[in-house]
Amino acid sequence: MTTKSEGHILSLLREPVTKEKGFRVMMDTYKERIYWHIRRLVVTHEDAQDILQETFINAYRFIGSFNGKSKIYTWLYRIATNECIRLLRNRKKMEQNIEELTDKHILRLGETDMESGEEILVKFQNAILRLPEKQRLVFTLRYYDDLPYEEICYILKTSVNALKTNYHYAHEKIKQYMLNN
Amino acid sequence: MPYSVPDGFFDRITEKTLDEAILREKIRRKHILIWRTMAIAASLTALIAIGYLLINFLPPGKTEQTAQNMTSGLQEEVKNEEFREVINSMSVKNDYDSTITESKTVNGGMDEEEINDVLNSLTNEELMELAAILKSDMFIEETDNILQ
Repeated sequence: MTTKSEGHILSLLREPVTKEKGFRVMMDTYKERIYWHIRRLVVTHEDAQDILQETFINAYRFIGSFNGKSKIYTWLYRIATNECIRLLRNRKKMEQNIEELTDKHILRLGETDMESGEEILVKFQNAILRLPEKQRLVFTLRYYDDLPYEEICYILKTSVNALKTNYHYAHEKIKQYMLNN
Repeated sequence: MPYSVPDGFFDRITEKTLDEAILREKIRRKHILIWRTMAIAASLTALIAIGYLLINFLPPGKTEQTAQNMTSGLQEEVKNEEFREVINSMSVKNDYDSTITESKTVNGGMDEEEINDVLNSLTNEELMELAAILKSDMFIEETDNILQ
């Protein structure tokens, strides 16, 4: 399942002498991709930075338990997604109101520096942030990261049919939002 | 994307994360070492404490009483054994006495005349055979000794 470069990274990570070198190679290869996945889910840079670091620190610690049946980046996506879900759920507990949390995310999105002509992208992000958690995760992984359903199954631990249904509903809701606002 | 990232963020994040990962690994190993040492120390302390309690806090009379109980039990067993032996020997003696009585009864049941008649009716060859049997049979001789 793993590519040649992934095999090389794994062999470096599994040897105690070359573990640090392997970590640098792994992080340089996947950090930007994973960072943007996290950023789309948690919105702020500070949260995204914390979760990115947690993701790679966990990967460094648990590399021995990685069996190599999936790709490294899928495994990293899974760790990152779980960390994002944990953060969002903790925030939900604190906020007690999901709508309030969504509004805060949207407000933060509005505060970020954006170039001219990016209003449509902000609107699109607003639409994504208004989706339920599962639909947002599936839509982000499928639309932005272009991951196949089989890999999303591994990341979110759900069936292909459930993913397809969630993606369909998310797509419809975003379409409606973009047309109405 | 409508999001922005601070300048040089991706250049610094790798080393920063690696340093943090190494630091956490060191802390984790130290914690594991401390926990193992504490677990061993706690187990040893518990063992010593249990030993100390058993030696010093058990009532001394209890040990003597237990020993006495054990001794009386043994004595009873010995008595029972002796009783059984006496009973057995008595039954053997009774068997022996009854055997003697039976033999006496057999002998006493025949008169001398009757014996003489039987001997007279026997041929010489038959008498010779009887004599041979008498010589070879050890039990006949033993019975004679008992009767005497």
